[in-house]
This record gives sequence, structure tokens and C-alpha cells, in this order.
Amino acid sequence: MTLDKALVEALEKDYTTAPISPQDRVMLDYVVQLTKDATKVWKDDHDRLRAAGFDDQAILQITLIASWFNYINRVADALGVGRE
Amino acid sequence: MNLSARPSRLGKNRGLAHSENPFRVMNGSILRQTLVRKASIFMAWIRTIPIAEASAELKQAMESQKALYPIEYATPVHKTEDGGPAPIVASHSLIPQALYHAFATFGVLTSPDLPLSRRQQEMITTLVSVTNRCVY
Repeated sequence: MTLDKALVEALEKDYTTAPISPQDRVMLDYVVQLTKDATKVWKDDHDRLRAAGFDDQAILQITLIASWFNYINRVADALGVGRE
Repeated sequence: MNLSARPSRLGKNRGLAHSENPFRVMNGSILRQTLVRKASIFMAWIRTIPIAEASAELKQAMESQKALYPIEYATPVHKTEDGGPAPIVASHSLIPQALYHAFATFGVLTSPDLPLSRRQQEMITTLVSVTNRCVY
């Protein structure tokens, strides 16, 4: 993990107030929406990502990493990994 | 760990040398129990195959997906006592091809040849886990 402890704690507490760049804020807004309800993601979310400087390959990478981690979170919880 | 240099968990060292400390076995036992308990917390509720019992197919699946990760991901976050894969990888061990394809996918996604920095990748994974309230 390369993120320092303070940033991790800030992200855990409230990512909207964490010390991150505007580009990363747009990225994480998208990631959170995808995680909570991907059906609420629309084309204008992609437009915001592009305006922030992400090209289509980057948007795909963000989408797949976030989606994959949603997968592994569900696998871990459903199989009891890390839970007593 | 130098058991003689620190008080026992029960605070009953009373300045005794390690060899004289009647609680040294209890301290070591408590430590071992704690470590075993911590390791067991991460284990799945389904059967997983220990590395020593892995078939050739399972071993190949484990090694092949590992090779796809950048070197900085080589150190596992959750180490295992038997030197086997991380518990979340081991949780897939009953279906080796699922293990390979699942973790190979993530390995490919972390490639330094792709646009996102490692910092950005970690922010994404952190926030997904936080949003899902996933403990692991």
C-alpha cells in the first residue's frame, strides 16, 4: 500500500473532504456511484471523467478495477474471509 | 520477541528472568493463540486447499496469476503460516480456473502500462471497500 495512513483515514471518514486532486475527486465520485448503484451511472458521468482528463482506456480501467473490487468484497464477505 | 525483557500480559513478571518466569509459557501460549486466532479470522467458511495439498492444476493457477502482478504487489497484505496464497486467493482454491481468471484479471488491471497510477488504483480499491463496509 503506497497511500499514507492519513489519506486512508481521510478517505474512510469522508472522501469528499480528503486531500485529493480535483481529477481524483471526479474519479472517486464515479467509483462510489458505481459501487452503490451502477444503474444510476449515466453518460454525463463519463463526460465528467473525460473533462477531468481521463481517456476511454482510463475510464475502462477505473470501471473494471472498481467492479472487480466490488466482486472481491462480495466474495470475501459471503465466504467469511476476514470475518469471525 | 524477548519475553524476559517485557512484563507478561498479566503484568506478573515481577522482574523474573525468562527462565524463572512461570508465566513465560502462558505468554508464549497466549501469543501463539492470538496469532492462530488472527490467522483463522481470515480463513473462509468453506474448505480451502492448503498449498501442500494443491494439485498441479491449482499450483499452476496460483503461480500463473501471481506472475501478472507488478513487483510491488508481490508482498501479500495478509501472510499465511504455511506460505500459501493470501486467504482471499485460497478461498477460490476449490475451482482453480476461477482462481486464475479472477486474480489474473486484477493483475492485468494493475499494469503500469495502463493509465492509472498505483496511488489512483489504491484510492479506488480503498473507497470501494469502505463503501461496501468490507472488513477484509
